[in-house]
Amino acid sequence: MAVVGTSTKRIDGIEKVTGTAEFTTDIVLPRMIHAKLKRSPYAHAKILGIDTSKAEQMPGVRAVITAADLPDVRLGVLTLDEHLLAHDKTRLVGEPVAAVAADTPEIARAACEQIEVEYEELAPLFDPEEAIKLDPPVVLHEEYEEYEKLLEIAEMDERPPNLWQAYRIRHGDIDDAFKKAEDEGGYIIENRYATGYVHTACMEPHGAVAQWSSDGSLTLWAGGQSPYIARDGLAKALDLSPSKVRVIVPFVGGAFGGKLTVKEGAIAASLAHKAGRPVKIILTRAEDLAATAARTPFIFDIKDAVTKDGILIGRKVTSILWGGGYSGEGILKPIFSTHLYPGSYRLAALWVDSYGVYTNRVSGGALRGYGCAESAWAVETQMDIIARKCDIDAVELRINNLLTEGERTAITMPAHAFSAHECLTKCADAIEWETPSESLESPWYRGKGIALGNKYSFAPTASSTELKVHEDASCELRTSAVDLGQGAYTILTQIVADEFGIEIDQVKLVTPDTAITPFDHVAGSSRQTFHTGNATRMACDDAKRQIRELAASKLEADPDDLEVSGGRISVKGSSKSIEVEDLFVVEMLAGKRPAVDEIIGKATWEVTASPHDPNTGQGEEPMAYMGHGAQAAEVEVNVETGQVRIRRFVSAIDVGKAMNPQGVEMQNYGGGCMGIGIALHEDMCFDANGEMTNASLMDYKIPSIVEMPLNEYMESIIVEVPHQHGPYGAKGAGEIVVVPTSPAIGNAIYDAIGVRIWDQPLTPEKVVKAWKEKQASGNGSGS
Amino acid sequence: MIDCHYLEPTSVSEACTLLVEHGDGAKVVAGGQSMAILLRNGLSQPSHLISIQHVTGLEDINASSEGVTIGAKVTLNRLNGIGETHPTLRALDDVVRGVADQQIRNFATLGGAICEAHPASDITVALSALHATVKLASANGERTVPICDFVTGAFATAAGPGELLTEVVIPSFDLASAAAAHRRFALRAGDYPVVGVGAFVSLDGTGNCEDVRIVVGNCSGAPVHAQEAESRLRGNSIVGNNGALAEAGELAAAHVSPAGDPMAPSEYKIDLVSVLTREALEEAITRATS
Ligand SMILES: Cc1cc2nc3c(=O)[nH]c(=O)nc-3n(C[C@H](O)[C@H](O)[C@H](O)COP(=O)(O)OP(=O)(O)OC[C@H]3O[C@@H](n4cnc5c(N)ncnc54)[C@H](O)[C@@H]3O)c2cc1C
Repeated sequence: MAVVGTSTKRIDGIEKVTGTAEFTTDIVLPRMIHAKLKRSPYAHAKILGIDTSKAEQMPGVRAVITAADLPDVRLGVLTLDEHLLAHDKTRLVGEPVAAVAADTPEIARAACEQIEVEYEELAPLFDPEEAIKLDPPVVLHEEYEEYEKLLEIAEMDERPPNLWQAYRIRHGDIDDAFKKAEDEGGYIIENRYATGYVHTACMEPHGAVAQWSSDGSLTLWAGGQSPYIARDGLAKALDLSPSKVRVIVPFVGGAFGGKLTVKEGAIAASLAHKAGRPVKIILTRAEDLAATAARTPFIFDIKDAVTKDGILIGRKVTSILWGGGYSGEGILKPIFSTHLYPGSYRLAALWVDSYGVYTNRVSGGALRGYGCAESAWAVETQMDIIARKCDIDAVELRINNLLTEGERTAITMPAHAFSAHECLTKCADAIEWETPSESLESPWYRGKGIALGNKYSFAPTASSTELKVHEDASCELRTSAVDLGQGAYTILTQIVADEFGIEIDQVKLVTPDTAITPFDHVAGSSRQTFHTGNATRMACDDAKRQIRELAASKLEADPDDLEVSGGRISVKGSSKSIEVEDLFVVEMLAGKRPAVDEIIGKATWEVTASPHDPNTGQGEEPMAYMGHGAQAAEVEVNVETGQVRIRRFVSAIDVGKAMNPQGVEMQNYGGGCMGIGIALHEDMCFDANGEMTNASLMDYKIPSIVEMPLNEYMESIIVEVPHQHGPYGAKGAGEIVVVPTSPAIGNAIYDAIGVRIWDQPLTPEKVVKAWKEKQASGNGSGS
Repeated sequence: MIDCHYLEPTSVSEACTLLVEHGDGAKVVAGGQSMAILLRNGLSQPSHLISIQHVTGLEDINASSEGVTIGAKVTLNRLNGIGETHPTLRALDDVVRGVADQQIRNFATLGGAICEAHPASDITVALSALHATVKLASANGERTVPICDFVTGAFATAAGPGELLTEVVIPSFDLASAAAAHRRFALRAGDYPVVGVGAFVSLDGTGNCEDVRIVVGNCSGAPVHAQEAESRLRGNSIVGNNGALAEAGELAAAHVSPAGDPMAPSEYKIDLVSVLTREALEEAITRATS
């Protein structure tokens, strides 16, 4: 029976629930010691000297390193601007300046305290709008021009010295659009939006275990999103050939974009080298929250030209990504966030200037929705404002502006398997959009809001898999795709089971290990089901082809006339068949071996893309696919305390084909929960020195189950509009689920109390403030 | 790993002796819910942890005509619903159900909640509104201290070296004409509150306010008495007088000047004091008149 499309139970479920699943922190090696980092207390300072002598003399300390012990290479994703340990300067509070490995974590921590660093404090720069000036008060990277850069940014007459990203879109005649709106009784709607500082705050903090072999090769265990990105990063940081580095990914306790690189792993490796012993590093919760990359804020200035009938004819956006001390994994965000400016809508003119700047705060990283979850906040709030201005229903207004199948967006992305309309209407029906919310007794108010979302999956990209067939007809899939909790291993297992017509438990997964498993780009950008899923199917085909060829002579038939299923190879339309086992021969003392070669199917699925011109944002197909989704919320707002309760929440997402419907449901619920946290609760706060002031899970407010709507009030809707290139038609589901959440909630708050809060998160304090302002001015602050 | 001695006395006197013996380095641990956090963050570095887990005689709840006496080791979960058996304790009941979560409340003790002296503790706020006193035992005997004098500031109490809190006494009052209530607002379920307010009112025969106490939490190191607000109400008609209660709320708000928390700036806390004072008073009056 086919298992693709059924709610197969997770293959890692029992291990995880019973606590036998091995995570990085569980790994214990003989003679292993423990590492701690010495971090900068200053947001911006020159390092004048580091004295490690006291630390080195402490009993139990096995190695101490500073930048001087490391190859002098700068690292980064596309702009190489960061040393593993601070070199001559620190650019954020918490930047590692030295590291210790000792017999216990406590000794290592105590030794860190004994390291004396002499700093010369420099003025810090926190304000992105100061940072982007041509003549900023502070420059973070004086040597920026010398850095290696792997990506071209938009041309500028003069680059502001703190700028690391610039991207433009020039599509259509923008001036004409605004003129038309003005002349023909339409509207020009201009607003500023901001997102907040959000952390992935995974259940499992960052960590790694490093061990060297006598031949000078390194093995690293780390729960990351991509063993190959990690491998190449380690090789670069430690000046090794990539073939000398082996990365093994144990189970991962969540990543959400936060575990793309293995900075701590590289430091552990360097310590292990110096100490001659395996080294484990596990960050504390406080370090994890305060000093690993976060979703840093965007500021969006957005100006829309709309006809009097509510048709969007032009949009102009200026955005700044408030980057931190280093460009990090945020490097592409100013580009990828632009995907949502057209989003799912037809736009005759689009004009975008998008920037990223350095400031002395935590570096910008990836977090579920990479840029789109942020720009959706601006765009989908605008849509609500436009609808109200034009006095058109917010769902209808969106529908009126939607693209149709086959059209291209203003950034040349084809609208294929275009399900925006279906997601939107199903979502609206579920929340009873036509029926206004009931009135409550003061100070409580109820309201509904809706938003549409869209998430690209990036390209170019590739996934390879290998599939080995055993004599008992069981299959072994070798993949470097990582299951971060999203259920990738289960889906890949389902695919193999179906392709070979075997049971789920006859499929074994060989999980990411660069010594064994082939290249897979990354468990990110909602790409595993789509790309690794395709590669898996293709590897299955390749293995089946080999089997057919091997079986052909035995069955005296043409390979093309053979069928492989359930461990048998049979001749189509006849009763002749043999078992897979018959392709193996008995070897004395050794059981069975393949009669000819091992049966190993291999495949690579690749999606190419042409890079867009950074000066116009135009080009060929820029992304692998785009996924759609809509969400609606009904909220209850207390205008005295500012509390916002989510009464009802609906998430309708299009996954092309629900490979594992329960898995999709979990994405809808889990993503909804994360999205609600981002919209209402989560905020990394900083003091005047740039230090995070709420670096604990008591103070960084991930919502608890109590903040979620009650069971039946949280609804998951699965839409299936197959994608021509998706395996079985599938597209990813991992990120779209957080894209429309914030605007849906913000729009619902407006519906309830008639105020707009422009900057995330929409905390009780801001609700009270906005309400009071509204009372004082006698009207809403909306639009 | 925490490097310290762990001692398990079985009686109050033994515990007190150990506290004296090990001096400044000795710290009491009851349910450990706050202590574990202090230890992990290095904020408390005791040489000796004196666990009162096995100390007997601190788990009772007794009512007499004087009031209700609660042993220091009574857990917060045991206090959940206490207002039904001991109606004078409804304000305490208002609080405990909102503290942390079930697992924490299973271990957290009332004594620990008071002695932690967390500036946001609403247990202390409710007990202050109820005019509770605490009993302290030491090698030199026992003494009784009003709770508002016991908590002296953030994480600071009047407990001297070698003193153990043994019980809390909540005096009785006439349920026909008096009541107390507590109202809190937290950013997330299970969090310490942004602000908590406890109110006690007693009415005279005409429905006027005979006595009133308004105690505000998390606006200073220790709970704050909103005296101007109390004066506004004392002797005046308050039943059904929403205007007076709102004014009292504003006076209470004017009385505090809290430091801001990361997600709750000072002005917002002041707004909340006004709202929660009014709500706590309304609830106390409803209870006193029904
Ligand atoms: C997540 C979380 C949320 C919380 N939210 C709230 C809240 O909203 N409102 C609120 O009021 N409280 C809150 N608390 C605090 C909670 O009430 C206390 O942690 C708990 O009651 C402490 O009791 P314990 O027995 O665990 O004390 P312990 O942790 O064992 O001790 C706490 C302190 O009291 C001292 N101590 C304990 N017993 C005695 C004694 N008999 N005599 C002298 N000293 C003693 C200890 O030395 C220590 O300093 C919260 C706690 C947590 C962990």
